[in-house]
Amino acid sequence: MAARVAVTGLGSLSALGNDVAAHLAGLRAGTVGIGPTQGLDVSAMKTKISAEVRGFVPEEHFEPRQLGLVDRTSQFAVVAARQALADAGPAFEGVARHRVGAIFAASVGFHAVDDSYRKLYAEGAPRPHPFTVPRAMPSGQVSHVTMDLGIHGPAFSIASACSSAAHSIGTAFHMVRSGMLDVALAGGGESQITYGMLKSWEALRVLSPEACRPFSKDRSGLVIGEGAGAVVLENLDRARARGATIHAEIVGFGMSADGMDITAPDMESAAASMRFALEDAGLAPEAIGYVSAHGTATALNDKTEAGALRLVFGDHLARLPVSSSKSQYGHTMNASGALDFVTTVLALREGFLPPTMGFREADPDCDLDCVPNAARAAAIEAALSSSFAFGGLNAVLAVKRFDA
Amino acid sequence: MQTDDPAVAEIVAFISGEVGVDASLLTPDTPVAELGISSLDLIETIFKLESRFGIEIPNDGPLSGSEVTVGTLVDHVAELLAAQKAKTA
Repeated sequence: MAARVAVTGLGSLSALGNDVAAHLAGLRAGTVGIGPTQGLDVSAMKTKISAEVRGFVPEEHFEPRQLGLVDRTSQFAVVAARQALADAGPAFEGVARHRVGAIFAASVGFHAVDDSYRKLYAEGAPRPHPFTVPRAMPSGQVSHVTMDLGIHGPAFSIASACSSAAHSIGTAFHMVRSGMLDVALAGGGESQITYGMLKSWEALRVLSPEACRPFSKDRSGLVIGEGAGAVVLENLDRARARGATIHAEIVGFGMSADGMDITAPDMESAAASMRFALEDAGLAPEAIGYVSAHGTATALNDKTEAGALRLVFGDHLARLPVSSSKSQYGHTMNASGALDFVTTVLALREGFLPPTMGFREADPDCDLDCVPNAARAAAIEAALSSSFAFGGLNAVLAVKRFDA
Repeated sequence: MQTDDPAVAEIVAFISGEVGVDASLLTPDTPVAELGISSLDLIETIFKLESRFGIEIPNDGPLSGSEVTVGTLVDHVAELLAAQKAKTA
């Protein structure tokens, strides 16, 4: 029999702040964490804004000897994972080593790549730093999480572009539900705020020069963010028996592949992943009280996503708030599925709807209640958190409020 | 490993500082493996020696074996340094 799965720990770093309390306060207040990029010189770029993690001092979290081996992206993942486990309490106690797992997004250590290649190509250095490989490897973050938290069971990374962290949480959920694991750490970290990657995103012509305005008619593209989200997922009976605080119950995971295009999204396929999540959760569409949208604020994504929501929810969409927190903490790429899931859990637990900030003008192609410009109180029973990645890899998580 | 040679003394001091081991442990016969540092630390130390002294320590040189001593390391760096000075002189 399938086990129920509790969310017992949360961790986050984002442009809204460097822990879950700051994240929650920012969501409620409608804080926009997007601003002029400070971490690097953007004078040669057209896009001068991003959603950076501010005030993060690596030395406060890592020994000097560790730091040379841990890319910024992995630093975020480890710190968020530590927060999640600290929040969950002694979740590993009495659990067999092979029944605690870790699944995180596969994120390239772009800072290592950028620094090393600049020295090699631009500065004529005879060789890159010897730690370029361990810092850059996409499985680095999950390895560091296992080393840091003493995890010895199944552990691996999942790559599905901007759905990576959602696929990671969903896979961990299924592993706990099936009885393979008692406890899992899951999530993802990402920092693509490097010269090379910002230039590359700019070249793709998807970046907004001024703000992230999901579902607004005058939306002009996405804003790159950085950060990490992490959760502790745990067998619900076990969590209850040890007296853990249960933030929410994760109940469904739906996936689909568009099989169409390497960047453009597909409405039918996005809808299918939401339907599969509902089916997996045993929930009717009418049971959903909030959707945390992928909502990147590109012209095509938001229109396609609104259409997909219409296909799944029909008339219920008129009563279903759908918002995009990317308007607040940017598009954190491989971390976004985890940060959005943390956001969704907080919305359920605290009884509020996170806003879509920067909204100025209704778009007939995005006929949604996107919770424009201010958070609202709402008692939500169940919610979806959607990730629709480049390359058509979709992952949708369904989560329910847990009343002890 | 001639410890009274200023070039050797400089190399020893640099290694001691970078790796964080007591200079008195850096005796010629001590295997590098016994300095309490990981294989990655050794790789990084070699990289830092290359950067600090502007030399290239070849992958297939005397440091490629598994039983490298402090003496082998320091002498090799000193030789490369001397060869480089001779070339630029």
